[in-house]
Amino acid sequence: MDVLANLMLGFSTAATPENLLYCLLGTVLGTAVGVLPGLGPSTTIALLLPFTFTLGPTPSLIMLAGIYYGAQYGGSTTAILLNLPGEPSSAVTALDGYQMARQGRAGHALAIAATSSFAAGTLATFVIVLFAPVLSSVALEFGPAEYFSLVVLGLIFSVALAHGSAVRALAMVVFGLLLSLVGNDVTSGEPRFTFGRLELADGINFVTLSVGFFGIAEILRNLETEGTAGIVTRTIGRLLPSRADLRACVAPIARGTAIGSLLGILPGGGALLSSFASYTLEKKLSDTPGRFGQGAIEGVAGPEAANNAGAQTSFIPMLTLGLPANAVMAMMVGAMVIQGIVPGPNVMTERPALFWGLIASMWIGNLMLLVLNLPLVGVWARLMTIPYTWLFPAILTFSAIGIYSLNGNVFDLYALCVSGVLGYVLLRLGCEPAPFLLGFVLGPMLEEHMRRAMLLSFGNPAVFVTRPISAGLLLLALLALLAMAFPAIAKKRNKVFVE
Amino acid sequence: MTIRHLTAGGIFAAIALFFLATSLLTLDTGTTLRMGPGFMPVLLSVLLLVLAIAVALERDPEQEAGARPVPWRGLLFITLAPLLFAVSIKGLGLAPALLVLIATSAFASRTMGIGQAVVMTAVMLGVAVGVFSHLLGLPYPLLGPWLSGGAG
Repeated sequence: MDVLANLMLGFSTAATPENLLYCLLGTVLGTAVGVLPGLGPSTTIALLLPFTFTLGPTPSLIMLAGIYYGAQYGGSTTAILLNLPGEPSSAVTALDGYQMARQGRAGHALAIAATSSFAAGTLATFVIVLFAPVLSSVALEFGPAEYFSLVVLGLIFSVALAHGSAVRALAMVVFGLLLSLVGNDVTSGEPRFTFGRLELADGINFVTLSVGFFGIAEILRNLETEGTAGIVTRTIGRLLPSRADLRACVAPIARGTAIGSLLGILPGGGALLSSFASYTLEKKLSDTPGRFGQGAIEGVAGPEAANNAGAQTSFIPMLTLGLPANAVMAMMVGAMVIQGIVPGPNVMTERPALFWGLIASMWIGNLMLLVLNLPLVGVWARLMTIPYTWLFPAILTFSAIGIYSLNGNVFDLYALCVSGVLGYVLLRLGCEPAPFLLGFVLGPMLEEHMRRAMLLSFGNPAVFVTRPISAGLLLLALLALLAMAFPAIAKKRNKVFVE
Repeated sequence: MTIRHLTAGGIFAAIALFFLATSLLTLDTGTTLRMGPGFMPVLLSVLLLVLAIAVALERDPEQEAGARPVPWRGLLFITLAPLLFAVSIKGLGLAPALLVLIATSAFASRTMGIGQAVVMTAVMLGVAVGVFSHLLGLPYPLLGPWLSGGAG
């Protein structure tokens, strides 16, 4: 099958009325929840996740993807109009976007954010089409030892590229891995850590953990700063940017897309790192770097392009290797597992319609965002004025019903409370939830491949370092670990995220 | 080393010790050739224990996240709300359970007054019942066996 045939298959899958509808529903819902102050893409997806399980695999993944980039676009809107980025990745957009809004150019900022997101999304879709099959065929050659090392590398990288303390992030990863072991052991069938509770036989529900760590904990964090909400910029101003503005943005968009596509593939960083990198680069290349932070349109265009390209290409490792790069992708992997799909290189060969349909739907969804969101910007701005006192009972209602509807199981609700409080306590102690969720999702894969590799090597753990690809992957992981331990690099890493 | 680091390290250490003790007591570790169900848990909990010590001893380049107040009131009501929902959904049915959930969570905010809470609860209850029961058609009775007179 060549590229063209793949794309044809993708578009014919994505363009069925049912899938178009769920794509639209996802992008609109994602934007609507994403613009709510304090709710980033991961929270949005966690909250809406339970409601997609009644759909088939393809529409549910298409809808989840739609929610993801919808929420990201919504986050940028909030960043521009309210100076309240829902997630660190749109923090950069707030720098110049909010300044533009204060100068009465909110419309320009929103329009350029939408345009650059769309342009980057389109290009990044092609990157996926070109590179996913290659990566997939490489991964098909991997044995259990290579896969084990790949998962280790992915987890280490996600820590190295996350923000905050690396040691704490590592501890969160291992905590997630440990928690994923709860339930009946797949190999021996023996129950582990269930203490006789039947509800735990299939393990701790990953949706419950996602909603607890990303939904409930977020509400609690927002309650800390209650009463200090920003002021919504009421005047949107003209939407269409001038020709000069557009011309100034072409190069930043192109560079942002390149940075985003590249960094998005790496585990951990994805959208966050790429928007920071793009902003720094644009500021360096600019003839008038002083304008940055004062409402420079390039400072919105570049990072927004990078942001969206990174979000798009972060699907590549998830779809081809089954390796999620960030919390959102971890939720996608969890959703696939619940739908009965084993994420990994086989998805492309065994379910080509799902694979290519999802990719084609990303482009369609980006187009929908562009067409829908600019006219609807007034509605989004009004949504932002919903007081928080109204929001969290609504979020809680969604969480509780969503969790309960999974299995009709009260136990899951108790687990929700526990994970919410635990997530909040850890968050206050500077332990981010994203590495935890990655560990939790990848835990079963890690154990299975480790067991298989050891069985094949007759119990000799040297197998991980004697097979060249596995050794190479582990060496990379070791280098990343050492780099974090070196004070000079660690300091630089912290600087990048503080800036 | 600060109280914050000690607390974080302590939490991780407690989790690690719990998993370590449970797996050593209840699970077969096996050999490297045939790894038992306890192999991975032991390995990971020892790793977490080491990391817990590292977290406690870590010298943190970033500043303490300021003295942001703990929202005790929020913490209480936000946890209580899903618990009450869980207790009431089977017996009382969807509508009363939602009522309890929304009304309880309304009081999580320091700025919420009684009048405002009543209005909000009424509006949200209407919307929630409409969306979940009618639009999404969730298969839970609005009034449970305790209220509808059935024997349950």
